[in-house]
Amino acid sequence: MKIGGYKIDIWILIPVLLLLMFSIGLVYSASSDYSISKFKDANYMFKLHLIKVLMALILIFIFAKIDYKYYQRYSKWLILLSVLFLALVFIIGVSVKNVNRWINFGPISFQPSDLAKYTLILFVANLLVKKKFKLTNLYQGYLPVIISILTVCLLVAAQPNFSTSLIIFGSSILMLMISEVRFKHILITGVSLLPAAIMFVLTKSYIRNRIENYADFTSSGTAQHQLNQAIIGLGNGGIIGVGSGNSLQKQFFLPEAHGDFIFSIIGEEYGFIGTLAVLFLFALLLVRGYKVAKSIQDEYGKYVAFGITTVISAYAVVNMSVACGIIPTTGVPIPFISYGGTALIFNSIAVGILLNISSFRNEPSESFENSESTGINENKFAGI
Amino acid sequence: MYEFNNKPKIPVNVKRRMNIFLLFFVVGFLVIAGRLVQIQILDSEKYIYVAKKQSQSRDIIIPPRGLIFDRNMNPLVSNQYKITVSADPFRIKSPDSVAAILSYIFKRDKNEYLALLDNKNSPNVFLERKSDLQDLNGLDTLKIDGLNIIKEPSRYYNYGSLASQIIGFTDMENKGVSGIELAFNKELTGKEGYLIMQKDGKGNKRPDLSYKQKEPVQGDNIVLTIDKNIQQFVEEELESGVKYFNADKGKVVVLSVKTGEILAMSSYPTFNPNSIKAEDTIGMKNSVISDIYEPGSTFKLITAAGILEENLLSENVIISTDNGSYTVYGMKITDSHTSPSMTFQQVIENSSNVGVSKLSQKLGTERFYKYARDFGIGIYSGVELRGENKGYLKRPVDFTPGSLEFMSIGYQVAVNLLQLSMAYASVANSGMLMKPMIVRKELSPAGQLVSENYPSNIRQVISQQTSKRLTQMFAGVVDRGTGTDARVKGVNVAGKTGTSQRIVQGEYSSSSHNSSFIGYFPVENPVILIAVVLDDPKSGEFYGGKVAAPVFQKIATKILNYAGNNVSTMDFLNVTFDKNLNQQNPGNMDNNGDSKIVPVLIDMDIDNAIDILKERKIKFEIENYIKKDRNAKYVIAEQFPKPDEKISGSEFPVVKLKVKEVSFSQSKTLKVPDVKSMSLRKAINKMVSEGFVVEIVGSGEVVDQIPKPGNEVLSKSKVILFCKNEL
Repeated sequence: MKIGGYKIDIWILIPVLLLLMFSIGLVYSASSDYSISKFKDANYMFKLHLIKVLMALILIFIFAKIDYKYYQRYSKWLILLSVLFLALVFIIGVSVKNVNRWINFGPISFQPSDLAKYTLILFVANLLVKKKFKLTNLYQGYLPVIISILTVCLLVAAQPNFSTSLIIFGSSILMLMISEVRFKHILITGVSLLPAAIMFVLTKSYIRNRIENYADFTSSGTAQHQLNQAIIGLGNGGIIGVGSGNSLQKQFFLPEAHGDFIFSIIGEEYGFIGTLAVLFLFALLLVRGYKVAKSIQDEYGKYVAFGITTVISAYAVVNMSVACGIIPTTGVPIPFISYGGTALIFNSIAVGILLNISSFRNEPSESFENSESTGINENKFAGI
Repeated sequence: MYEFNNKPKIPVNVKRRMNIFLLFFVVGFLVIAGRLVQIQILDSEKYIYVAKKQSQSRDIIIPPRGLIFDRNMNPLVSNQYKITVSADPFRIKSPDSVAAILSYIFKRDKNEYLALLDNKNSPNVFLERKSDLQDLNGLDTLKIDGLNIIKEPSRYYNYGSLASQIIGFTDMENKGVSGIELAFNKELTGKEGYLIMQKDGKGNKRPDLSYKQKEPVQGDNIVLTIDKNIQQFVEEELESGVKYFNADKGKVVVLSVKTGEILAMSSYPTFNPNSIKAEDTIGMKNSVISDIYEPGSTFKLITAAGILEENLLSENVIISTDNGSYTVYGMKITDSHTSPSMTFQQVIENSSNVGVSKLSQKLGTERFYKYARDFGIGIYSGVELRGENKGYLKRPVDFTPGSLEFMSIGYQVAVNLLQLSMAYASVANSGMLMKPMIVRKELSPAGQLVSENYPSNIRQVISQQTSKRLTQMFAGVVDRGTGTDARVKGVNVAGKTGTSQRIVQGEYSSSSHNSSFIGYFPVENPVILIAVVLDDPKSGEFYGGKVAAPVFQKIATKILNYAGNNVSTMDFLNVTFDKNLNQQNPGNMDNNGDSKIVPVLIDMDIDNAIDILKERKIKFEIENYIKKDRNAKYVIAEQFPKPDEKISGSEFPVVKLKVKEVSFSQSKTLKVPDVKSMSLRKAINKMVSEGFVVEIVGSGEVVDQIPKPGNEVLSKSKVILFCKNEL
């Protein structure tokens, strides 16, 4: 498929489009009861969501056309803007559920961390390319990179949004690990950050509660209640589900079913078939995204493609794991499906960028694929 | 392989690293998929159940409790609602305003409610329990989150303490605790219905037509044999008698002698079931049937009846009364007067202890015991009320020297007043002992007859001839003897006085007595019997003839007035029982050789069924039964006539049976037992012992199970038990 002369990877576009379609039906079903009770209009939230999905589609195609190399040039300014927004949250932030994560621009509320996670990828990718031969050097290479990552992560964590911060940090570290950065440095960073992270968790009661709740399965705390209800929803769907719109759990058993726990509604209305389909679509996105990263010659494109794919996949895995009760409850949305928010917009922009990068990839030949495992051609990509 | 220097010679293998990360993600996906298989496929049934359960609410519909009527269809009870207000303190947003509202409506101090609402340990705090308040001032229309207003059905007793010991009362859950309310609780309760509503997570309910609904079945009405008016006379006169003679307690029973119906029954003190107090425990007891006492002279009936029935002596025979003092085996029996001799008639009229004890010797131990038994002494009277004390009648083997003589004058024997009254009633009823009746009939809420009690004969104790002679003797007691205070203007009364020494601190007291009088009228054709006992009168008078007889007289006079002095027919009793049914004799039904009952054979093994039929000498036919397979099991599938049908002997039909084959696998299925509302431990024990494998969801009391009780499953099948505390 070509968009404006670019040959993009259709297998990245298709799962995203399918997930967005799925999202329309699901949000319609999951938000109706909530909308009636809150806005006296069953379609109120659905309409807003529909507008955002349309915007998302448009953004995907716009960003698929924009040459990703521009971002390399402006990545410094983008990250500065993001940091500014993150800082602004503390000054003019809007409190939702006692958490300051939002900034209002007129009618649009905006969560700066959604922007920051992608601008950080663009920025770190640039640093990794620019400092390529200095990366093994602690002071000239590693420290500037890790400091910029930690600055963003700390600001996000202080919103407070610990889970997002953790995902951003983890994804950035994975990016460092495919660069020339020394493992030793990463390891030392990790070890020295661990006590700080533990301290942070212990001081933030909301995180501690959730973790305690996770350990104590009999607790009836809100987070535990939400998780129980999410699991009941999944189980209630069985193999084929109760059918679109027939969820029982959305009727206020599962709080804010249209948001972070929408995966449970997928499971309830469409059953195991539905959840497996979603799992498959994310897996496809992951495999194709990494394939783009592997096959692109350009270093910057490689890092960006890898970073974007990692972040989206990490969100998906974390969200689904939470909904199944595999990990403690944490409020991260599932990409492309959860109701609205700026996350959908920025995820779509990110996919647009990924698609654009995909159009620069080398279509790998069969022989190339085969040589990969032999190790003979390992030097082929070196020295660029 | 990788050597990290400041200048890397060997480049990083990016693809391999990406593949490792990819693998991590794939593992993540697989873990999720595995968990989804567990939740959505393996455990799905459990979650479907929980989802359904929490989205449904089962509203119990309690039917109105059946009413209790007297024999003339006066309703003695009515139903009303009491208001219970409970709250979940967590959900009450402004305790202050809730307390203010409640304080306004229930007129209690606001701070009491505030204190209750401050209790954050419980999700359900009772703010008002069973308030009598009928006007809620619109409280139930205010939808206050967290506040529950329940209208609980409760009883109101229309006449307060009237007949309260007979009617009994109900508990907080409106279940019968005593009296008719207890004895007929099942009939009065009816069957609960329910309405299944769809419920959302906020607790909003909406009826859903697709959900099941079961209409409640209203309880049946009970019509008593009690006559409200007679009961009222009894209670009034008993109370004034007890107070006048300064007695501790008193009890009265009024019977219709021909039918055995209890027209009134009461003991004093009594209680008001509409406002039960802690000290009411004595008053709650129906002493007439629950308390036993040594009857004293009223027990002379046994000896007199025996002597006459056995034709041992006639009424005119002179008996030496030893100047009123007679020593038996070293124990002294004394009279209140000192005649050297009396006729048998006079012995009864004057209640000579010496005379009767000598008569008892004439009658002898075995016959004395037989008559006492036949009159129903020491046996449950069969009244349909709980808590009857059957008293105590020594068996002849247990008699010690003097037992006969002392028992003949009413010591060393214990009776309840109803028993002894039924014995006297049998004398009044031509010698036929009746079963006492308290319930006339059971009516459906629509007024249709559900069941009716008929007078039932227990046995002919003495001949009609003897009964007439005894009645004449007892008429003499009232005319000339100890019971002259029982004389009633306008009607001839027969009766017997009794004065027994009470046992105080293990010894017969000479100052504490039970004073009694049992009498019936009209002598010519007895209809009504009244028995009166006053415990420990301390006014100075203690003879039955001076204490109980006047109470009898007052009650009898009132009854006569009530009946319009129409003593000859006493038609106010409204005796409309079918005379044919009168001959029914339920006591001997088992021994009735003329009828057989068809045994229950369905599902029984064919060989066992044949054995049973042969043993009972019932002819039978089995359709199409050829034993084809030695390993197969054959059971009875159908039978005609249906089980439990009673068929008289002459026309007893051939029982026809149809057989079905039970295949081997089918015979190994087990019926899932019902373990709902059992404790988890008990439920597991039951399931495991019956061969099931148990899976448990939650903890505490079992609230549901899959498969449902009664389902046929293979042995070793898994049964999921859902407990109160889910997840």
